[in-house]
Amino acid sequence: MTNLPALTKREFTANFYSPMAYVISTFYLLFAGLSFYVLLRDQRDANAMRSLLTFFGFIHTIFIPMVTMRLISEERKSGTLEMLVTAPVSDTEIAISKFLGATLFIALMVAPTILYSWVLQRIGGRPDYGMIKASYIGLMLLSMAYVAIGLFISSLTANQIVSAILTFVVLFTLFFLMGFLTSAVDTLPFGKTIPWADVLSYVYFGVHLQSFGKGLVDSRDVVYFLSIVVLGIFATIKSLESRRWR
Amino acid sequence: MIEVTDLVKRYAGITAVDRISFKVEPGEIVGFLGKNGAGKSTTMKMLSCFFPPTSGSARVAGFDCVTDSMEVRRRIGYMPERVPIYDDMRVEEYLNYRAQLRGVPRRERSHAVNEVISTIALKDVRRKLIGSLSKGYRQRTGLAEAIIHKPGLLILDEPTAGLDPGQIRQVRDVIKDLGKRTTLLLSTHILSEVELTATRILLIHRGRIVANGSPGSLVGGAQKTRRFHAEIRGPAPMVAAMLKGLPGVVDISFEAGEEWHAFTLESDPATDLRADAAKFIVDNGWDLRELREEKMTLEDLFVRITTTDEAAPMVKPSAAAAPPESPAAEGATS
Repeated sequence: MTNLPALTKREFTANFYSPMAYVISTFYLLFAGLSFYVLLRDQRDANAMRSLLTFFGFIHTIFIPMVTMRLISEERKSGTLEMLVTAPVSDTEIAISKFLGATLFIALMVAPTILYSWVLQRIGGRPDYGMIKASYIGLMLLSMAYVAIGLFISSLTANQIVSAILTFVVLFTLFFLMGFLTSAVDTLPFGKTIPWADVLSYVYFGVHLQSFGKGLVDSRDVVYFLSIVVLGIFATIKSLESRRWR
Repeated sequence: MIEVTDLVKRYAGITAVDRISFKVEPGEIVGFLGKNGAGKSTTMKMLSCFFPPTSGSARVAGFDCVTDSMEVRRRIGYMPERVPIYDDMRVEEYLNYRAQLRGVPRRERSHAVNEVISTIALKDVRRKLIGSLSKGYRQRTGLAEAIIHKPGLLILDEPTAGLDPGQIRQVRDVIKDLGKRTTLLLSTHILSEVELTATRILLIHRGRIVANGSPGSLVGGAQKTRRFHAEIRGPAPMVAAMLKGLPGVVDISFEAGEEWHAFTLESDPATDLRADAAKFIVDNGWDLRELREEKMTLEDLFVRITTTDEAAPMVKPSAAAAPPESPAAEGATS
């Protein structure tokens, strides 16, 4: 793991080499600011930030694929992956550094929104800082899970657009479709149940996000998100290694 | 330095490399020659641990490329054909980053970077974006990267591909210079290049090594007779018949022209016909305006070997096995 700092630094700074990073973060902040503004019109209580952060969980399904799409696809396409894997660097280091590079960028992208709670206080919204902290932790854990999934998908294709769209579809499915199915469980007529409903609701992101919104950092939810991260990185390592047995 | 035994690589249905074996001694500059798709790059990718062989083994400096891949990777410098380097980094920044990955200690890093920048003559572009460099400078940046950690073995896949003649000369000079310090395996299909730089040639055709030896010995070994070209003014059929009587002449043929006729003489390898033939022609009262030996070039050999459909070696294994020792010695003394 001695190469991790060097690799991570390269992955993080690589975001800023292209205009992509600036475009993404500009639009992200524009979007976030607009949502905050709309939210403030009818809700100035302690819950405002919580609702906002849950909403961020949704818009991250769009923004994160744009950050993760280049991670490995770009290197595959340009051939630089060959230089990377023939250097004395392990596949594990490569996968982890790419994950960290993207996660750090997303943290940087989200960071300015911390100011919103100060704005909320200034206009007399009485923010609940414990709740906000927990919500941010939840949002970051959710984003890390997104990045891990995006990283893996990026390792499968040399085409960045395919990588982005596929990641979006997967994240959207996990966030919405499953949410819809889980909520449908309660409303099915005639007492019918959807098979595997309990499994489904466990896999659903939203369920695990709820307690963070209440100001609770539940270890079960933390473990859930971290296990997705580990799984994503592990799958990426295997995908990188696949050149050895393909 | 390199020890390859029965190396095989199969991709979906195609055998790209078919049971090749060869050795490279420290200090040698080995030219890897072959048509596009012959298996050069595939072999190099296995040696650089990019992917493992289907079967057989490749060892670098005593370490196996599959089981001790990390050790091998630490000891080699590798430049793939397309020179895939990050376009969005600056030359110096990239070299510094790669030096770090290559395990150059922090304290020596800036010294190492400065050193390669001066050896490869990259001073003018050290702060430029790699993406904005000319092809020659880009190639040189790739070379600089490959030697930044002073590897014992340098593997260069088509280092001069796509360069203009001036750039080819520059890169070739750099390579020649590097050859004095490290063992070098370079692939190419530009024949003049290997003739100028390599001490030994491995000719690969359809995934097999079909010739192995120094450029001179390969061409010599493939030549059964010496050929001479002469242009003579005189009665062609009679000239031919009389020249045939000269000692050592094996065969003669001619192409009649209007006044001057072109003759091709073949002699046994031990005889240099030129002096005798010239004297003979002049003594007979004919005119001679040209007489030269037609040496078989590496190119002729290359074309001869690679255009045959049979995969059987054209150069006898006995001729191929002998030379490796001598070029190694030459390489060490030069």
